[in-house]
Order: sequence, then C-alpha cells, then structure tokens
Amino acid sequence: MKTSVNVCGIEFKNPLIAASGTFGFGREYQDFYDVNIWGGFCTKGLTYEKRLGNPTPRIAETPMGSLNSVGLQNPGFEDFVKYELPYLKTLDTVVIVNIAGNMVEDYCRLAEAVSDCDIDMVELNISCPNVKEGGMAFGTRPESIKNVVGSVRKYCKKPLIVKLSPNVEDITQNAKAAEDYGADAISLINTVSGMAVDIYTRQPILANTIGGLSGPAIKPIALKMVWQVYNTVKIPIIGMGGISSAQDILEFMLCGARAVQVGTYNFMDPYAPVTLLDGLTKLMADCKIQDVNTIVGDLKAR
Amino acid sequence: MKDYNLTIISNNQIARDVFKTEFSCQEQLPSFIGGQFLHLQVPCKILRRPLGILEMTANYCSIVYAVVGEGTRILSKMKKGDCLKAMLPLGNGFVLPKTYKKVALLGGGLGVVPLLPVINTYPEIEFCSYMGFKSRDDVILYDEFNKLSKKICFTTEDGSFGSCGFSIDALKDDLETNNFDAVLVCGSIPMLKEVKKANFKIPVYVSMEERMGCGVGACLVCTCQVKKGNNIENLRVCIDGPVFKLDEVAL
Repeated sequence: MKTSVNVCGIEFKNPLIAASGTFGFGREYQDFYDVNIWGGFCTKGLTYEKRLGNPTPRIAETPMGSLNSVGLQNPGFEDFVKYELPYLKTLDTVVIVNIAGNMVEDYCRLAEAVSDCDIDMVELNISCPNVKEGGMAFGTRPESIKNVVGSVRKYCKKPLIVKLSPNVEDITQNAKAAEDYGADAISLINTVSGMAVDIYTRQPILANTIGGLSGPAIKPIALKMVWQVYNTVKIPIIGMGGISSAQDILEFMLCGARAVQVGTYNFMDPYAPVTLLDGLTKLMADCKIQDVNTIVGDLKAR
Repeated sequence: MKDYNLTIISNNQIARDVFKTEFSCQEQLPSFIGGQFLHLQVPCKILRRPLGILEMTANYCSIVYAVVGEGTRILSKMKKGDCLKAMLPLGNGFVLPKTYKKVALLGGGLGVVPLLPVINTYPEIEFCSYMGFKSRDDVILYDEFNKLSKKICFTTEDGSFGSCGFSIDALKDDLETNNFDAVLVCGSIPMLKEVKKANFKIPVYVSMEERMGCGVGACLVCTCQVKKGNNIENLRVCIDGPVFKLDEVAL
C-alpha cells in the first residue's frame, strides 16, 4: 500500500502535515509520539521581528469548532535560527516554515532569510485573520495576491506554498493569481473569520473580538473551496479545514488535495497523526485503494 | 505525559455549582506535584478542559470544578461508568525549595483546589491554609484542609461560615507572628491584584488560569505576560506555568 505523496518535487512519507499554529516549532508533542511520523509539518507563523500577539482570552469553543485569535505570537527570525532551527534540522520529516509580515517588504526579507536555512518549503501566510496589518489584508483580493506573491517569488529560493483565506469573494481568482505570479503550491483554507459572545458579560469572548474559526465546523466550506481551486489551477493543492478522521483525509484528496494539513484535531487527540494514519491504512484497505495518489481529484461530478 | 482512559467512579455536587468527580484508571497513573492539571476530554466538545488535579494515586484521581459553561455542565451530568480521556499530569506545579519549613496557602473560591495537593506533595513542610469564599454555600474542602494543615482559617464575605471577610486579610494578621518562607496563592484576578498590592516581602507563587487549546505549549493560546528584567515575555500558562512568581506576572 502506498501512502507517500509528492508535492513540488518534495517527497512526503504520507499526506499528513501538521498545520501552522497548532504544532509550535515541532517540539511539544514529542512526549506523546515520534513527531517524524508526520509527512511534514508547518511551523507557527514566523515574522522577521518578534511578536507578542493579542491579549487573552485567545480561544473559545463554538459548535463543532474552535475560534482563536493568537495574533501571530512568535520569537522572530533571529531567535528562530538560534533556538528552533538546530532542532528542526534533526527531524526526519518535511519542514515547512510559515511566514507572515506587515508589509510586502517584510515578507520578502523573511522569505530570503528562511531560504538560506536548512528547511524544505515556505508557506506564505497571507490569510491570517487575527492581525490588524498585513495578514488577511494581503490575501483577499487577486491584485494584492499578485503583488505579494510576485514580490516574494523573487526572494524565495524554496518551493513556495501560498496559503489562501476563505474569507473572500471568489477563491478561484485568488488561487489563479497565486499560480500566475509564482506559487508552486496552494494550501487552503485558513480559518473562517468569526465571533463568539458571552451573554452574561455581554462581551465578545475573545479579547480581540473576532477570531478565526477552525475544526469540523468549517470542513464543508474547505471541501468546496479545494474542489473549486482544483478545477482552476494546475499546481498542487494542500487541503485543510476540520480534518479529524481518515475519511476526512480521503474526502479532501478526492476533491483534489495532494496532501492535507491537520490542525485543530491535534487538540482533540494528542496522538492525532498516529490515529489518523492507522485509520487511513485501514480505510484504504477497506476501499481497495492501493495508492493514495490515485484518488487525488477523482471526484465523480454529478 | 500521556493520554489516559479514565472511568468515572462518582460525580457529586459538593457546593453551589461545584462538583467533584472521581476517576479510576486501569493503567498506573504517574506521580504529580500539587498545582499540576489534567486536560479532560468532554463528550461532543472540540476542545478539552484544563482542570486542576485534586488527588492522584496509582489507579485513582479526582477533580473539583465549577459549572461555568457548557463543557463543565456536560461533565457535571456524566454518570458512574462513563469513560473520558485525560492528558496528565500537565504543567509545572508548585515546585518548592527543600529549605522551606513553613508555607502559607492562600485560596479564593475554586482557587483552593490546586493548593490542597501541595500539602501532600511536601510532607516535611508545615502549611497554614487561608481559604476564602463568598458564602457558606460555596465552601469546599473544609475537612480536607482541616485534616492536613497546621493552622486553618476559612473566611466568607458574608460571615455565614468561618470568619467574616477575605482570606487575604486573615493571612495579613498572621504574617508578623509566623515565619512563613513563602505564600502560595490561587484565586480570582482581583484577589491576585490585592495580594500583589499587599507586598508580603516573601516569595509569592501563583497558579494562573487561562483558556487553553492544546495544553502542551504548541498553540500559544493561554498566554500570561511575565516580566523578565525590563522585558515582557508572553509565557504559556500550560507548560511554562501554571505556577509563576506573582511579582513577575503582569496582571
């Protein structure tokens, strides 16, 4: 049975990638399992300068979902190189660094800097809903996507994944813009912008008022967008949004995802990749799938 | 650190909106330090709930929690025999130097819970317990603190149980006559602010509470602002805490 996949010439031993922001810089789950079991993992969103992020509360539970507003807290590039990179080099899994910034220049500077590091891929975060400047502002319109992707492309020497926001008018136009201006792959969806309210305090639950919704609640939105983008672009797609079972993985792959990212499910099950991979091989056997690659985009249109 | 399968042995209301749940576990549970917590799965919920561990032995553990939302309401209605998963023990508990001989425990409301197991963690230290509640209907763990503490003072704001007033004032009265090496505190933010203002001149360790995601330091949701020299650092309550030095915490 074959579960390995290839995205932009990079070999993943399986299609599971830990999603940015749910897996730190890869150390935290070591006590629970060998983190090299992942096909790959995306680091927490990195900015050139250190960021403290938003005030707390930063998380709220919503029906079948989790709403968060961390605001890109991260140690900044220098401390990343000093404290995180040496550890990342020891890993036997695909390491993807998720990068963010306030201005196009920030993205370019960081893309160039991480390109010189011993990492495998770069994921361009132009879809964070939780920061006032940059983030999602770059990722909602095709014009701004062209600008930031085109600029970063000149500085990024690693395969470039562009992570798209679902909070947009037409996801296909944004995906096309990313492809046309140099993206090697597209990952989607980032969180759906949302809000939670406490009726007793009459306040928003999150200190930042709004946040990003993740978890099973957003899976149908994500599936739809992965399918739409698959029918629009030729570059590989990494799908995500509420994946919490082996069946979910196959659903995303049928809609066109070459690999998938797992985020919120890590909080539900601290052995997430172990559980999902075990389920995946069993489900593939049940469905008589010899090679997981054969189902990518194999959704029969109605 | 592992995810254990726990089975409910009992689940009873012990005060107004407060429940105690006891679990058995077929696997051998690890040892723990007072102040550490578990991250409990709740049926039909996406996120786990971080709750202080009250007691834990080889095949037994217990928690005490208030019903504050939907997750804890579901938990309070679970029955004997129901199974739940829990990651444990998480975080840094109250790690105390061997030189300590006498320590004051200062609790407010549900904040008294993580302080009780500290007494069993350090049998060689003498503990005096100052625990405050709103009213007699809210009082919990009186017998347990009474059994284990050298001195005990329970207060209620309306005087309906123990002394009338706040636990911090009871502690202040005793500070001069007792040679406490440190104060361990857990309670509401207004209470912590009062403690900070009181400036006890001995080390004060606080157990912080925050909404959590992963519980192991990966998601950066449960931030606590801590002063390190002239810098403010955002530390993680789940793994850098939940116990911090109170004078370093920005409240």
